[in-house]
Amino acid sequence: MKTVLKGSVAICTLVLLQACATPTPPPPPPQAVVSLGDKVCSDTISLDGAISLTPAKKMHDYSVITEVDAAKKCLNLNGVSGNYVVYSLPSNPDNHTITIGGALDTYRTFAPIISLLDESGKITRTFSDDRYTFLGGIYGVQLRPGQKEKYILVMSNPKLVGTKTEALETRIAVSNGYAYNPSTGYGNSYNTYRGYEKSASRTFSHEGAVAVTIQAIKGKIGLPDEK
Amino acid sequence: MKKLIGTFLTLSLLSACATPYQPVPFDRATTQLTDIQVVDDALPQKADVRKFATNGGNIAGATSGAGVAGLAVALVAAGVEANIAAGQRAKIQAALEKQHFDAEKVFDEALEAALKSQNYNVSTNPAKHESGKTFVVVPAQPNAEATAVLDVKGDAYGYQLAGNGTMWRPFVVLQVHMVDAKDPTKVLMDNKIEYNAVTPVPLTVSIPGDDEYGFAKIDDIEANPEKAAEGLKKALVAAANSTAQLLK
Repeated sequence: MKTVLKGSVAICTLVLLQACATPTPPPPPPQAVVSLGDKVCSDTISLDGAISLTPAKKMHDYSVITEVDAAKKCLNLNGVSGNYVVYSLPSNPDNHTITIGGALDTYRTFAPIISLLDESGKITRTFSDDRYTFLGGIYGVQLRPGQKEKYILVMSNPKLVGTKTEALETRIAVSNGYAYNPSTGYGNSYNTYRGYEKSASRTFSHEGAVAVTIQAIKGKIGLPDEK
Repeated sequence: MKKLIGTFLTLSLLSACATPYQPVPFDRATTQLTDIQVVDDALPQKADVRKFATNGGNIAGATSGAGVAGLAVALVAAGVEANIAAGQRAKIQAALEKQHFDAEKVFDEALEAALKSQNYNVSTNPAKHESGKTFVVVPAQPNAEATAVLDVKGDAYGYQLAGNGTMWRPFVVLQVHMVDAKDPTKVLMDNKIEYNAVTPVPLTVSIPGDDEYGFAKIDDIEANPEKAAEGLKKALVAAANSTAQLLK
């Protein structure tokens, strides 16, 4: 009987503790990483582990977000070093438009240098600094690959890393409400909109999210003849 | 009233998130383009106002589903809000007219300068926008080698209010479209550009606003029309530069 009582007390304590426990707050948004530290970078681009931009299902639009963190490889290229990630293009690469760049996070943006590579991993073209712009929620470029371009290299740009963008952002917040109509006994839900402004300061970073959206020009991704 | 209802519908549609827009990125290396004819009819004649989260709008939204009485309240609220917006539009237009503000001239000059700095030969195409069609229809120019026709369709520009408690700030919304002059069925570039977007549209160009140009009330715009014109000029020049950037 004593054991049962002790067990009950323990269970009650656990239940009470769980009920009273303050939920763990989410971690703060990550800050920019402005140095590669003592990371050893390679002189060659590795195509191993290239992230496929071909969706598992037949699709017209497909988006991929890749978190570039300290574990990602880094590369020495044209006298500069940066973290990088490689994407492999679907078949019929020239039947696609691609929007790619660093996603705007709360405090940081991945600083991109974007290049296209051929089948052997050789760079065919690199987008110069004056080509990058804000496209929706990213800082990047839009491109249509050539038939012989098979990969996209996204590398952090040390010349951009550490610089800041200050932007006024005007946004609309939506909250839901419910209004009850006593004469009918029914109600309706509605949205209430609130406009607000904020000054957003973001630092370009060696780490952060890279966002890619690939869209088929004809048919589906990798399948131009697909209806 | 129509504009207000349009704003609600736009917000609803945006939240519904339809098929994403598909841009056509330009590739100068493969097109070898040297000449650009710019359609000389880019922007609406007068500035406009855009209002998003207003009290009137929220009252209309909250009451419209609550029976006949609710609908009546919603219509009155929407009507009052529309009348307020019409008055504000007239005041902003008058303030800009005092400054002899010519949006088309500001935009065209900035675009021409930016394209020339990118080593394009720039000329004017006399085509005009027809109602019901987004872009101009241009005839094929069989002898026009390495030439394109760039059409800028200004949807709206002016001052916007995101909601009560925010400032009146400049905005610009453009659609840009470029075709091969020899074969106008060949689209060389297509995109959308928005200055100070309240909901940046994915895959389109979004230019952040300038913190310096904000007015708490319409009266402040009327009291300082020079600054109001300057803020809108900066917005239009930024939009023109972004248009040219798409052609690098």
